[in-house]
Amino acid sequence: MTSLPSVFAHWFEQKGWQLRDYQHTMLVEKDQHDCTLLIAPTGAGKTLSGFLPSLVELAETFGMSELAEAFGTSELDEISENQELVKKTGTSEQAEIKAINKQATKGKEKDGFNGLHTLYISPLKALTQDIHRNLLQPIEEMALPITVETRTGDTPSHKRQRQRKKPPNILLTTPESLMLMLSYADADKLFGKLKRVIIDETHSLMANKRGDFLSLALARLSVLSPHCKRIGLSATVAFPETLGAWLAGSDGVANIVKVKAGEKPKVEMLHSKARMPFGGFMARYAIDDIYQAIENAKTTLVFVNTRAQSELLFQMLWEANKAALPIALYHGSLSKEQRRKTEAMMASGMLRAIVCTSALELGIDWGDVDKVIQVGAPKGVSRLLQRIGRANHRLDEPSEALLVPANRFEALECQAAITAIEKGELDGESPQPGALDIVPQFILNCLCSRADNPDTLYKEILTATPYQGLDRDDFDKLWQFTQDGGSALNAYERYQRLTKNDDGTYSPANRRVIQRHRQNIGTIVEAGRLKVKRIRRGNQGKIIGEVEEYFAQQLTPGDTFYFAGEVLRFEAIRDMQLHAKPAKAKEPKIPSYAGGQMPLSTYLAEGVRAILATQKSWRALPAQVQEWLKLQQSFSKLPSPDSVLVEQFPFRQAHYTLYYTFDGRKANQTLGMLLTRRMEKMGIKPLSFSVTDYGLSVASVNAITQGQLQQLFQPDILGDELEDWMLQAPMLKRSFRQVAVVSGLTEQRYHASQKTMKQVTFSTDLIYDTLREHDRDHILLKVARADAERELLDLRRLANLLIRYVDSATLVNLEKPSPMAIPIVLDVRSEQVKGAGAQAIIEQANLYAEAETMLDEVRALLSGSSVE
Amino acid sequence: MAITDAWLTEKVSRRHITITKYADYLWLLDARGVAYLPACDWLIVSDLHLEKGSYLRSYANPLPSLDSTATLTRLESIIDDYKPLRVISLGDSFHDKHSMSRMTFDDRQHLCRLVDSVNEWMWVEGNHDPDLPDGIPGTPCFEVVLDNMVFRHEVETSETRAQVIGHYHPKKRTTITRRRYSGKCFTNNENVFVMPAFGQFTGGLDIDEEVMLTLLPKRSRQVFMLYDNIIFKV
Repeated sequence: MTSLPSVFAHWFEQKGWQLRDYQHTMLVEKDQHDCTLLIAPTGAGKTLSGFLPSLVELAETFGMSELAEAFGTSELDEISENQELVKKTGTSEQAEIKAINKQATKGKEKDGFNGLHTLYISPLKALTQDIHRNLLQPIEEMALPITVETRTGDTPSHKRQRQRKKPPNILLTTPESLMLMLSYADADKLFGKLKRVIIDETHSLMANKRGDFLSLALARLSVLSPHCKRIGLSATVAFPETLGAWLAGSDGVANIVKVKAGEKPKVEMLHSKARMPFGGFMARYAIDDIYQAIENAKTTLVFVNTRAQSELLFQMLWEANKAALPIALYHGSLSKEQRRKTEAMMASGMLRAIVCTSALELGIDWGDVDKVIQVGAPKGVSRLLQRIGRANHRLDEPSEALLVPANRFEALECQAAITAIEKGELDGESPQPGALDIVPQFILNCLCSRADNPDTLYKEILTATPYQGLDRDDFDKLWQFTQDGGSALNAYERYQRLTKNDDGTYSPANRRVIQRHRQNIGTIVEAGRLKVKRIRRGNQGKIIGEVEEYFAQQLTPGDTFYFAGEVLRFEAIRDMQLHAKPAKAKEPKIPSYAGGQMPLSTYLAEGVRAILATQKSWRALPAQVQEWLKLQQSFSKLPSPDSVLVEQFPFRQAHYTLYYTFDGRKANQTLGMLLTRRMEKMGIKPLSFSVTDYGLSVASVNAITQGQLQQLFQPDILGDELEDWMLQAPMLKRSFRQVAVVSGLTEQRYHASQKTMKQVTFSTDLIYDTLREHDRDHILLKVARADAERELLDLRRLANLLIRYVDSATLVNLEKPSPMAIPIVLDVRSEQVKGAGAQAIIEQANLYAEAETMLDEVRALLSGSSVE
Repeated sequence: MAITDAWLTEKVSRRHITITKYADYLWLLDARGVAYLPACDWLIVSDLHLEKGSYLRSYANPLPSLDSTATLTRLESIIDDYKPLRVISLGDSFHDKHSMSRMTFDDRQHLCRLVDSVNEWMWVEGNHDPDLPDGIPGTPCFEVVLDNMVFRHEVETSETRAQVIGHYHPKKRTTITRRRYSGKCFTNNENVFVMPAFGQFTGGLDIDEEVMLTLLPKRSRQVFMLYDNIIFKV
């Protein structure tokens, strides 16, 4: 092990650890590749391998500077070539090393590595804290003179100031904080000496806005510190090369180091004796089974898909908690203190189970979890594996997991996921071109740091992989927008954000522009949140977390709701805080959170179709699910892989048609919009539709015929209807809202005040209408449209569906809803359709005769006046 | 008066207009948010809130100031349909005292043209516009009286005559066969008739809110709701 300095070797020995092969490789080859992507399953010691090259380098640089002093030179660069020399100073005698290190600590002020050496970027704030702890331990134990600090949105401003003046050797941060630091005028000094940047959980940054955002920040970083090496740490992914390309940038190549996966996890589906419901997402039926599983394991993580589910499941578990097991709750809306407390309790082994959301999915090391329970549909194989990986953080033992489907459809999905894991297959996301609304933010960010011209920045942006295909024309329009808002908005002073300097470069127009920009960096447009204050007496109390604004608005004083694992009674909203007191349950509501829903992956959808098609595979399913499928088979038909099943039946004073597409919520939503539009044209009078991941149900006044179905289910609805609808759809407004905030058209934050989402919505909707009317070609409209197509509509998937099943939709007429239809039609969240259908319904309720009789009276008046 | 039997018959059959009686007068309620009294050829419109956009904008809300243009364009097409003898703008026509100075030249021209095109234009004062801005044609007044009926911006509790008012921006939510609809509305009982707000950026007050219920208790009121360009009685 030639590359490991003895102080490290000794420390490893003390711990009884051995450097793994790939860790060794990464260390030996640390200077050979500009970019390295490490792909390893959880529990393989990924994070340590990421930091090891940096720690060794820093330790060596330090050793060298000691040496340099001895030789009377202060030029570090000269000496760094003589690495061999340094190695000799490390002896096997620990005491001696310690002595040298002590000297080092003293001498550090003058020498050592001065400035920022390594930047660690994590998508989760919480992860930086965790890594900080884990990193300090070896550094202290080896007495290395290395400084490590975190820098996130929570970092107090005095600490930020100090970090700018005197940066630590290793800085742990998030993409947003990195971007903010890049906007400082002294960014070049801060990052000038940077040697390495480590990007943790790289897989979670592919094909989403935050990833696009980070790729731009990395592009900028490469300009400031051209010799900086990138290291990506990722869980196992379906397409490593694509991820490598993302990481390396468009002009680089990533060296991919793959670590063989450990034992395949043991995944089972719950076969409960209790009756499994057709619909719903709460898995109340299985509470006893879940509790049993928790009792039988040492420590369990119970994953659910949404925060609302976590609150409810937590309540139900405590109701069943006869043995009073310590069970805790963890989700992203709880206050920081609450979460820290739970984390600490978990780390010290005081808890038997935690009910949690995806907030605990990434990174954080949880010690001795020996079982993972997934309640509700897994939605994707990779996601499920990530969650299962939280159990048994050791490579050599298989993780154990139990899947608890909340309804019968989900049982199909669970089975598909189990099959995929057995086969070792993953669902992957294909790369997408970068989101354009980030570009104005990035332009302004760069200009805040130093004046520049469009040509240089354009070239810089092209080096970020998601943006390598960015059109110069689009870029110029985005630049124009950044400069003055574009043609419809340039009359307004507040959009004059850039001024041209005499040398042809551009700078922010004034300090306010810079300030506004810095306060609004990021891509996460938050739904408005209110802090929840748990009142003890008077106005005294503790902040225990946040709920969404719109949930708070629907509460009236006296209403009770579940939050942070207890029942609270709503008192009032004061100063953007929701005041509530602990109370007895009286039909408590559950806070709902937008954006908690995850779409079913294409891969799993295929799996579900395959299960339905092969009756042999049903044997693995719970008996109740098999019965359900058989019932469906005899009552109606089963969806088959080579045609789309469409059922029609009368229900609740309307005709319902059900399309079993299995193509995910977004694609179904879009299909619903387009179908109802065409139905409107054909005179079928649609009323509303509702979607699930599995299918779409449309309610209409009239029934449809097989002939009409053929006309409806055609790829050409993506032409006419889509165009029509896109122009006025609320969807576009919704994505415009996001685009407006990210691109800096409007802000969520200004000074200390956070705007409520309602205010943001109000103003962006109006701007949208204005632009539509007066500047149709405005770049932001184009961006909003692209955004809607990718984030909300899933057009690609829908197009595939329609083309694949052209002329092969089968209509089955039924007298009442089929067993499979029940969960879909029972979904209450339906979308209303304006048009003839709604008017027809309203007409039934209209007291029309009255107007008829008065019409005659008016006629008399009219004829009277015309005589005059 | 420009409306004809045929025009009205079609409008009524397509639910663009409905008819009601208030204070012994026949009222045509137009789904576009205005009322028309065929007996005297008057057009009633309320709460135009011109330049509300630019007002909010001056408080750092990034709003385009094209709301006035939109309001005026809509109003023009209605006036074009009815060509009334008299228009009564029932208060809060201008969002604030400085509205006119913020209004674009084109919009101001547009407004003047519109007012001049009508024989008589009454600007009833509202809480937002107690004084009519300078240079605007038309007649400012506190109230307009017609027989046993008085047109005012805000309700006067001691009033014995039938009142027609604006001010509240009434809105209605309703559920018809399990589907929810909401929209601006006309609402009245024997003594009070409340006009919907016409202006582009005017929100609404649910008529089931307490303030509205004290004015118009559920039992006595009737409601005409505007939804997707049609009007219907709820």
